[in-house]
Amino acid sequence: MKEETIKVKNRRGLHARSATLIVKTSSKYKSKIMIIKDNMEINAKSIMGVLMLAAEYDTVLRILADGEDEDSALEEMVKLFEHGLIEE
Amino acid sequence: MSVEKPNVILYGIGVYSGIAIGKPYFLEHPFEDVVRRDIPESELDEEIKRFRKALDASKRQLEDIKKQYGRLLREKDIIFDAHIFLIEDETIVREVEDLIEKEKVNAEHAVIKVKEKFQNVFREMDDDYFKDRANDIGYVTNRILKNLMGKSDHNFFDIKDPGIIIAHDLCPSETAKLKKSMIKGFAIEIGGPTSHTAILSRSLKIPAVVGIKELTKYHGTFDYCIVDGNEGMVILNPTENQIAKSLVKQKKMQKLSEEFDKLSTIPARTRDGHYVQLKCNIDRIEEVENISKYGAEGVGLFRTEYIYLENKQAPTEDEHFDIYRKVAESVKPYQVTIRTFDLGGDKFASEDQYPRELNPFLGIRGIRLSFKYPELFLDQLKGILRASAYGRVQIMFPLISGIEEVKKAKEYFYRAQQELSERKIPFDPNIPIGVMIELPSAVMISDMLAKEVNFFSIGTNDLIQYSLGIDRVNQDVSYLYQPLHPAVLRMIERVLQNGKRSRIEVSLCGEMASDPFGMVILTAMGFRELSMNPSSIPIAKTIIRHFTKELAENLMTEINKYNTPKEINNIVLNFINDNVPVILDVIPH
Repeated sequence: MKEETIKVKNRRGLHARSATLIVKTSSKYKSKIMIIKDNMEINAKSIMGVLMLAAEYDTVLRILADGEDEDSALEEMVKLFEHGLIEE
Repeated sequence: MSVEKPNVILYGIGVYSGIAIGKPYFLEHPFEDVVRRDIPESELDEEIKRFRKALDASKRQLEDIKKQYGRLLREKDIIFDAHIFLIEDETIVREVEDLIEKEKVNAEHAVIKVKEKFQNVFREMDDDYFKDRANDIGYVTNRILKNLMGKSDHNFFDIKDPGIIIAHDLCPSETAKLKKSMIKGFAIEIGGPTSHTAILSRSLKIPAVVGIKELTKYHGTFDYCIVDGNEGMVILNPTENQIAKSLVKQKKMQKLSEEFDKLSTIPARTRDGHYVQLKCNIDRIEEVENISKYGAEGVGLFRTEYIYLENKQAPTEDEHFDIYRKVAESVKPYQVTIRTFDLGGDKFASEDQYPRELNPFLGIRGIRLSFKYPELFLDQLKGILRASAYGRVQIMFPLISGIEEVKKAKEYFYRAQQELSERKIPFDPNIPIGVMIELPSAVMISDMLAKEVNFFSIGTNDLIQYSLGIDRVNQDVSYLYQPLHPAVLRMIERVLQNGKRSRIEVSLCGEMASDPFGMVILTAMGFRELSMNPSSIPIAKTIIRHFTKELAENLMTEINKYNTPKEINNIVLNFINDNVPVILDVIPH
């Protein structure tokens, strides 16, 4: 299992558009991918989960990947949070 | 209009102006009659299968709708994706199936329970945006319910006699099917200026009022109604008098828009023969049709950001070229001014380009971002240059603060030219280069800048923000956003004079030209070229056609006597009253 800590850099938080991208990206991988905010742990492949995080700008999140392709999965997820989430 | 039916006036938020009078079409909430049924143990598997089938059907429908209609409306695509994900979401699916099994109930009942549960989770959130996601849960679960119950979507194609759509809310996947010919107006119980209905009504140009509390309570109590988008008002069972008044208002607006239509082929010339070139601002290639529709003479600002924002990645040189070539060809014989990426500020999100700075508008944006990513910049420059072989193209750089930046931008520009020459690809060697004047520093050195470029275009939105020191996005200071502030007017005049002295063209492409008050002043100042939202062109033409040099000079003298935006506003209002009264009806008050 691999883990990284990131910050939400979208000014408006993880909105529907960003959540959709997160689900799209994580669903490409076989690994289980979880996102943790405080005590809440959700499945990154579930849009309900991602939306229910209600992660606002600057929220610290932990991303966990567990499975055969965990390295590349985590790498792409971190990249997505760093660069790929475009403002609505 | 039967006598006994109550005459009621309800207020909401007008999201598209205009008056609609007609029969109401009530889109009801079809799920109030869902009852709980017990399912025998032996049939539970069958019940879950039935639920799965409804899920599959819902997903297929959404995918079809996305394919057919998603592209029509700008912001809809991603909404459909989000809804498809919601339908597939294991969180919802598992909850429903668990409920069916544990409580031994019918799928409809389980879906409604799960819907309510998750809607409440969202409704209890602090952030308004996430609160609103409860609606998305509603749209999706309602679709599943419809499929379970064998109900189909509201079939708008059945509407033969167009009327007024009354609903608690409109679901995007249903409204995507709406055509303008079926509907006169919208009256919707929930939602605000950014709701799906608001976006839809604007794209269809249909009068709409949203956020009308308790509207659906009146279901069945009225058979005729008026939607007044100007006042944000709905009248149920209007009296003869109310109808007559609304008809007059409607006619007035129609007449005005007909007059405006006629204007599209008439030149924008003052009474004493001075000609003003009116161009339009566009974001996308599809909008070029507005050029002839509103009688514009070219594109004064083609914003290229969306090419990046929509692709979610840097476009290639060929992709740039394809788009610019199409624009250049369809704008011919007129000119198109292509502005290089003005990303950053509020139009970016990634770490490098949008760092955690307190003032993104003062950070890496506009030309600064292009310098930081030379490959991105060069690909765009090459794309623009190549398009210049197919029409009349000008190139413009945003957020220039000093001479070095212009020189540096030109260096890249020459590099792009050189590379194309080496590859033997044709381009217009005399393509005009210009800069946006949107920083106070650029205003102050506009005499120097004028020696470096072929034209200026004043961007008033940013110029106002940067010179009055107010964040455009911050509601608390929005009262200070004053286009008629004497400081702003003086800066604009200074740029115009400096441009004239150096014999370069000075245009203005900000919101100010779209505002009738701003337009009056800009005409009086003597602008000979302006660029604005296409729909503002008819009003701008009307204003210009009422002007003379003498009127302009007198107005400027009068304006210069006053110190506050409020006084200047009144001077302009008096001027309109005396000289262009025909536009009074369309000025927002």
